Amino acid sequence: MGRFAARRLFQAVPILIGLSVLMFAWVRALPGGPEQALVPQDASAAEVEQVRESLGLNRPIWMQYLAYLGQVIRFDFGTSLMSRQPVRAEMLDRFPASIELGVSAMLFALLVGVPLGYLAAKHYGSALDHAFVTSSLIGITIPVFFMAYLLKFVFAVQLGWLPTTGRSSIRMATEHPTGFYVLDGIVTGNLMASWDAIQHLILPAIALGSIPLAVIVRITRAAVLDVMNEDYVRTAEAKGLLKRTVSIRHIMRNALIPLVTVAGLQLGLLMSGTVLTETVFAFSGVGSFVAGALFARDYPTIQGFVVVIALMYILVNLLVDITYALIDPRVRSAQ
Amino acid sequence: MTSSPIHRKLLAAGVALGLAGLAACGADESAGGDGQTFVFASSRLPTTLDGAYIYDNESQRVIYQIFDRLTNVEPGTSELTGELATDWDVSDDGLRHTFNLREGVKFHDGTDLDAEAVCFNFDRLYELEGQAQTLAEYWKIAFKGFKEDAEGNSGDSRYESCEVVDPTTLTIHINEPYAPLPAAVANIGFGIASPAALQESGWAVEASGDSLDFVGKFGTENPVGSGPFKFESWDPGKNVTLVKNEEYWGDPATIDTLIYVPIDDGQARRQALERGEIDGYDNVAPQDVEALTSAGYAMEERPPSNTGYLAMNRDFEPLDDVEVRRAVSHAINRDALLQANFLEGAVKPTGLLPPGFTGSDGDVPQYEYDQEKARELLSGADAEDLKVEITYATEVTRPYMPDPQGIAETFKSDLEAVGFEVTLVGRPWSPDFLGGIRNGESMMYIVGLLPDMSDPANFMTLMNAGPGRWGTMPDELLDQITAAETAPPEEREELYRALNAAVMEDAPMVPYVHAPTHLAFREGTSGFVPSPLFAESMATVEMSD
Amino acid sequence: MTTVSPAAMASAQTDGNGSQMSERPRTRIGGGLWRQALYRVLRSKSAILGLALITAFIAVAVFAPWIAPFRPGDNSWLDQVRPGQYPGPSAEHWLGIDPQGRDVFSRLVYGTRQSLLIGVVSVLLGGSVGVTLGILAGAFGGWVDAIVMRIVDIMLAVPSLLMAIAVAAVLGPSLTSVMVAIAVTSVPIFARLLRGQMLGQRASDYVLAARAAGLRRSTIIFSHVLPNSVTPVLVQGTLYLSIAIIDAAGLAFLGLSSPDPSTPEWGRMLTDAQDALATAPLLAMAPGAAIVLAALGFTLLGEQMREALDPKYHR
Repeated sequence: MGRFAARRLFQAVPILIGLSVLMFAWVRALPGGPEQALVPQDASAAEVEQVRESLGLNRPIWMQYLAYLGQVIRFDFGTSLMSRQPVRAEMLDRFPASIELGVSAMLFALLVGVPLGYLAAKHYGSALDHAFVTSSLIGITIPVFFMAYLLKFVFAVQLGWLPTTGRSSIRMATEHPTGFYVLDGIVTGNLMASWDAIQHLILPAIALGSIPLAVIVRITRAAVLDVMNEDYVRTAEAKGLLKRTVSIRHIMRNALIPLVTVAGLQLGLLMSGTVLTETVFAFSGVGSFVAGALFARDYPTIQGFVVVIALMYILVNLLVDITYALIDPRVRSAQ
Repeated sequence: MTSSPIHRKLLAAGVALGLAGLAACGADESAGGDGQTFVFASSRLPTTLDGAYIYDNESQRVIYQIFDRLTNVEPGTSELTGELATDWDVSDDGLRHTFNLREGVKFHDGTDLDAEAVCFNFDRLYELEGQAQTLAEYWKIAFKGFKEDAEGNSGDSRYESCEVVDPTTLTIHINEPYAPLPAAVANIGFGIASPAALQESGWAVEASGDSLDFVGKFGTENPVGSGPFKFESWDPGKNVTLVKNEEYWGDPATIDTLIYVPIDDGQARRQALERGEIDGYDNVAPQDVEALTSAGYAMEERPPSNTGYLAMNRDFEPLDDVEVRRAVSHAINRDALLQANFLEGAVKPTGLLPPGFTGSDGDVPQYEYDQEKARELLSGADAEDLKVEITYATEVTRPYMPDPQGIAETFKSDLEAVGFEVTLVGRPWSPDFLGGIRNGESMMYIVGLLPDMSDPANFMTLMNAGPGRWGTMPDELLDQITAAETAPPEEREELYRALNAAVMEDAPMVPYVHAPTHLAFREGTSGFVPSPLFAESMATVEMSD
Repeated sequence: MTTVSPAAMASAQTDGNGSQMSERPRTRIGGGLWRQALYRVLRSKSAILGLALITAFIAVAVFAPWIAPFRPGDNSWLDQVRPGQYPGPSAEHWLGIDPQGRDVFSRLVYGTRQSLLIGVVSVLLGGSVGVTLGILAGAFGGWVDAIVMRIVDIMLAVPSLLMAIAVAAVLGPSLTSVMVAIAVTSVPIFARLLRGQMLGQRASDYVLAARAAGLRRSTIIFSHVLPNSVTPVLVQGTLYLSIAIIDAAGLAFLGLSSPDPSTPEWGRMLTDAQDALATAPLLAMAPGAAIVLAALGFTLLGEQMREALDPKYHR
């Protein structure tokens, strides 16, 4: 098992190096240059040139790349142009936000999706089954930002049940030792702050969770259907095992394999979805910040965040692979 | 205690959990009863609280509360008056401005605000170096250059020196007449800061990596002025908190704590007000004004002191032809545009200068909506093809363009109706849109001017900034602008009147609106005086409960 | 076999990443199977529905000038617009007037052209690049395979929308950059799919037989392997069309679609109308419904095609 994990980790190295080159090339390929974002709106050409000089943009390209690599290794990405804060500080602020949102969305999708998929399979071919499958289809064809807007409009604007934007109420005096607001409230003994943070999470999590939800319903249904027809389940049923034992021990455990894979693969979609969801709900996470940074040509932010996002993404995929290998030993040998 | 649903729910949750004790420290600070807290939502937080380095309203509105200036405008008007200076004198040759200071004013740190402190401030700006110079917009508007430029040569500045005559008298020496000086030093870039705090924290700006850093922490951690509010804390990205200055030389503020929070989206600002999370916000969307007013919120209207216009860069064909530019002016249905996008307070411009500005009342050539006239002018012009490109800004709204894209689409429809072929290009305000204008890449673009000071030189100078800037003008107009700036005060009014007409004769742009802006406050809020120059103090604001 | 069928997994995989699951040998689909598959597709109600939706949208796109009562840029009704108040549906304007004084129905009809165009072009572009890469990797193996697959891995290491934003940011906001951006995100999916097909079929009996018969590698690829990969590519392409349409809307929401908003496009219309949900819900609901229905059409058809062609479902 250890060797398997080590090998997969090793495979990530060239990806990371390739990514850093791509990232660097990409930033330099952007129209205008970092200097455009730095100078005030009516700076003269001479002033722009002065800024270029001081940023080292006149150095040979390979020197700029090495300087950039040095930054990445030291985890020092400079200062965000938009917020004038160190990029590292922004990361500590925003990654917990997006992780909190992503985990909530995934939780929502699993808690709702797995039972629905299981029910659909159990009642295969019934009206219930058709209803679940069809609605899950519509779920994946609604653009996530539109879903987010509809939820916000109905539950926040019209009904006023939940807050419209942000991560916490403005007047909520809180401390944030971890950056995960729900957790912060518990850690600092301020449960109202936790409740407040949860309220702010509900709508974005549902909107974002609608992406994996549809897939999870269908995957669970398919997996359960497949497993139900396998001989060992039939045998188990024939043996007269309790229905619940069969469901849990035999059906669900085997259905877990594809579920884990799919949940892992959905992470990429989830990350894409956060860009849109966070923008709609002004949720100060990674997605909205990076999207904003792109428009503001906030180079330090873009470079830093994209590297860390890719790192995390690779890491999560690694974890998924390892989990997969744990559940299904055949994967290890098949490599 | 606010009565917003969320707070009631929070309280209920707290009680239900048997944590009523925690509720007091966890919830709304204004519930504590120790003074009033006012939460104001701006679209974003300041970039810094050092007025020297900003050129935007969101920074300005906070800085304004912390610092005083030598001069200021009367609340709600553009009439110049004294603030830290009780009065001032200009020498006959226009080169010496002597200011008499108010006595006994102290900075928030307890040090004296005297002539020496004021001169320290002016010298600090004059001696800015390197990256700091690129940021110091207001200094450049008033005094052009600095002591030394990047190469160490003389920086071609209008500023000579600041002379301490006695503790309450100082003289600013300049090397060419500049009539707008007293008005220019009223703006936010000339807030007088505590020399002790400046020296303690520093104000240097440095480039590092791909970014500019405020290495000196005066503007981010230790902004000390003499205004009605003192700096308390800044939680990056979340809020800036100011507290009442009990020792203020004027009438102290009624609000005890003033918190600025950033809410980027206009609709979200409205909802935050409706939910009682904030007490006021700026730039109410035109379609929200009526709904909020009838729901009982206090609505304040800022007079239309800005000018929104469609600029035409004459370096591009066919806009080099004045007849084509006039045809564009006739083709645009400004009445319908105003009606569809702005509220009743919006004014259809006669020229570049907003109503009330010196020189805005002259006899200016008008271009009424007339498609026939436009076609006629076009057929007379020898332009071969009528392809134009309009650039509009994305990601922002401005009072003069609540929906830049929508306005661009309307211009396109109007221009295509008389035979132009129009392409629209949306670019993010900063840096692409502004960069495009700066580099002269944009053919036509939708921008506007917001006043920095109560002098017509302001708009004219901004327009004068050469090809591809806020506008383009022929050389003879540029000369006229410089002449008006340095002329003796009594001759200036007539010069600006003529200038305003000459500019419209040349038609370098189509001014389409002077738009009012609105601020909404929680029910029962009073005392806020909207200013055409954004000189708006929160010290006079009173809340009902 | 106790694993779940790859097709069942993949059919739930909307982002297509799951196509890696299909990396297993397929039996050759003969003429008889094709006919069977077609029969099965046509027997499925959802496939018919998908086909009907797609046909309808294509018809609207082609005949837009005859269907739309007005030109999409005609702003003759601007004088009826006030801030936040836009005339609702009427006999003349079925879906009302937009904030710029234009007929919403006409814009929706013309918008069909743009949105379908974006989908088709980006899938064709991404598909052909991805297929080529996949063939290279599968056919040559060794270091070519290693390089191609590392490229694919790098591309997959960046979330697809971020990748699309990155591409669109370099190219500047335009219709072309939207198409390229979406195409780029689909490249690794097609590449993996094709490589899997190639590897799978390389080991299959008929290729082994062909090899044994002394046929050249290129002959084997072009006469045996490729023809057998057409179907899965077609299925993936149909499914990706739906993703392309949804992603294009997302890019429009982020301000990365055509820089000229006067050219109507669904995603842009939807984005622009969101603030008017309270006063004029139709402005947003109409383009929103169009996006959902078009995406639904491609998904339904694609999934039924996949199921019909998968032996696993021949129960």
